[in-house]
Amino acid sequence: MALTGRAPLLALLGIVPVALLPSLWTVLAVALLLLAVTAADVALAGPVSALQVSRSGPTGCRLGTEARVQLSLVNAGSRRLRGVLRDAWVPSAGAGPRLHDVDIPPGERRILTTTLRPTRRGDRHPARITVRSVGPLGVGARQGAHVVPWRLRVQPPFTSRKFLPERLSRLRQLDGLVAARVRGQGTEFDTLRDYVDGDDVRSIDWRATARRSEVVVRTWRPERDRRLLLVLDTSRTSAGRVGDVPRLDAALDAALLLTALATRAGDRVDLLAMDRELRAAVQDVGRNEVLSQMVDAMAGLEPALVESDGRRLASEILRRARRRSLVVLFTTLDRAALEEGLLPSLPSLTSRHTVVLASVGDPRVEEMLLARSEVSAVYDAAAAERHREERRRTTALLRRRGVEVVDAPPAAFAPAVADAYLNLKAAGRL
Amino acid sequence: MTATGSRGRSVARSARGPVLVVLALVLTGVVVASYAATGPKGVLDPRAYNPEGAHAVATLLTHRGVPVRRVETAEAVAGSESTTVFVPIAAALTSSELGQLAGRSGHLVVVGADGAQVAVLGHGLTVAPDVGVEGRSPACTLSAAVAAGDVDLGGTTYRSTGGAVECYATAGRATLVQQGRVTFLGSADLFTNARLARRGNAALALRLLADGSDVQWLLPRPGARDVAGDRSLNDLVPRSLKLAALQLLVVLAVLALWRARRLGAVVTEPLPVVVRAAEAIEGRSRLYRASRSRSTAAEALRAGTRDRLARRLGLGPETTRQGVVAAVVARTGGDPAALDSLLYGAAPTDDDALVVLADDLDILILEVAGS
Repeated sequence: MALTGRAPLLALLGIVPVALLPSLWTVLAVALLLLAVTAADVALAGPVSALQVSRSGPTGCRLGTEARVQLSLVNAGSRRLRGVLRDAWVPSAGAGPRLHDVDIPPGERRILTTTLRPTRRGDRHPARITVRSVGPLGVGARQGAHVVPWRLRVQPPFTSRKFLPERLSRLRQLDGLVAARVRGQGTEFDTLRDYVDGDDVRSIDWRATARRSEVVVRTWRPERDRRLLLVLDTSRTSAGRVGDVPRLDAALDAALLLTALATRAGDRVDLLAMDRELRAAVQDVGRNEVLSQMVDAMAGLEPALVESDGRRLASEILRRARRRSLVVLFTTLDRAALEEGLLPSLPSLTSRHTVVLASVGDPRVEEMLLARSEVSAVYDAAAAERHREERRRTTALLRRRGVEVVDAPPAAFAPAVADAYLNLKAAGRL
Repeated sequence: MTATGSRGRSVARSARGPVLVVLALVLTGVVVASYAATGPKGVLDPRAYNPEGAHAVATLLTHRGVPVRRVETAEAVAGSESTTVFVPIAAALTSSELGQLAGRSGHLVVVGADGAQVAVLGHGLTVAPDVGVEGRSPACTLSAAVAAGDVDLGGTTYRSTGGAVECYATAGRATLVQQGRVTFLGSADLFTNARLARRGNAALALRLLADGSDVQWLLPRPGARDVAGDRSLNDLVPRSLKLAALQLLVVLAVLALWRARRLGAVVTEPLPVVVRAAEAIEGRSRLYRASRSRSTAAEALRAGTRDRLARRLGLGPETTRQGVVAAVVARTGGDPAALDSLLYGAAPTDDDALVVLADDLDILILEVAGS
């Protein structure tokens, strides 16, 4: 049961009879009348339980876009249902409008649209649908709720998509360049063709030439069907917010760009996200499917406040990547975390795979390095200098162990990772 | 960011109902209060300037050498043989009080006396039904009335069986009766500021009141003395007002019930951890400062500068202290000893020295970069 704004107005009108007949009985009579009117109104209101509610619409959207989820209401009762409806979602789903006006005659159906503008990645669920059915006098109302589950999967926005065309054109250049190249590591046999002046004599295929009257050369193209394993570290270091987004989100963005690029280059991409335990994995998915599966798997990833388990991570990588792969580790150049976690198990990885460690740098550190405005700023600069020094040492240590290190601020992170991949591919190191 | 604009609008929309109700309540209160404020205060008061007051006639009397003293209780009247006692509202006194007053005064002027009071004060006088206040002519031999001519009189009327002078009568009912040292008037309108200047009002008022040495203006103030026992504020507030307040309480209760019912529960959700990545570095900076670790801070700054210099000058990591200084001097000139103390010297002794060191290191970097 609920009241509407008319109930207090009606009570206010009751002042007139009380002023005309000043007696306690009048006050009592007015109160009883008000009660009776409200009770009658509530009794005559359309029952909320007779409403049949169902949802339809999209089950996923990218962060930054909006999704329109429809609510279908059928009034199966015998009375008209008039009032307001609140389709409540979790706050980060950004549901609107707050209230829907409903007016459904018996046996009819109405469709309401709730527009969702999610503010975070992950699965967003609706809470209860609360309906307040107002009586014919508009004084009292019945209130009831329905639970209609739904799931809207909010995927990462993939803002680095804009860097893709440029990287793809570099990839095509790479293709063209390498076609004329001699055989080397990271290339594979493409075709046989007639010898033309200028071809490297070392590329003449004597066996084929012997079968024909012409001299035949082999041509090579960049290796294809290589494997990439993208490893996302979701431990506590990934929770740190750089600028406006957590490190993890910058890593997801870069991982998506890399996936899109590598898929076009003919390589196969797998995904692994873990901290102390496995959070998400995408493996052995066809080229056309991999990006959408990846986006779906990434949607629910959240940083966990635990230390990463380097040994487990290494063994998981070794278990999953049986063939030689390019392992891209999205983690942080945090000396303490690396030394205790990953560093001891690094040799087993680098011996079998090419390892790239990608870390999101913090522009705030650069700001602190240059700040001189007051004494505390100078101490900040000293601390930042110390941090940079440690990072540099860690980078040097990793490079000595044969790990490629990418360290870039969030804005340049995704293209930097993509470029590292292209460079490795050009060098035939995949 | 949330859309604050649309949220503000929706708040305004949902608050419209309560705001209207509160406005209505305030309006009701203002109307009730403005009516309640117009009490008997100032009516026929010799100090009141409002139209119902009687400041004008009091001033005229004072100018004629007849001082006017306002008294609030019958006991306070200082009577003498030449005093005129004026009672503009007879109902404010009991008949016995009036009787005592008549004994103590030279001349008693009573307005609107009721039957009991008339019986105490006069002989053979009765009270007749009221008439309207309008211009009336004297039609009697009373010198004051004859001199004044037409005046505004009405209200209570009196009948006499003889021995009294009856003036301004309608159908045998007089609105002014004088019997001995007591004068009865039907209404006091002619004494008010609003009407004093009309017709012969002022003349009659002055002739009635100014015949003694002074005037004692007896106008009891509510609560100045107990007429019917102690009356608290509670007794004075009208019953209808109290009941209206009770009804307002009911309105308030209904209002609370209306607003208290939420449309569904508040929806909660776990929020992700938000830690600024640079927080650890800032914490370390504050630790340096709190523990006054100037040497550590200075060494960090110097190491950073040395690293940058080495990179710019193409020095390897195994370059010695002397090698670095020599390379920088070769590029920029300057004093090797000063440069050595800047890059490798003692720790600064206070915060100011640390700031100066940081600035000097910056300048050195700029010099090397610019040369």
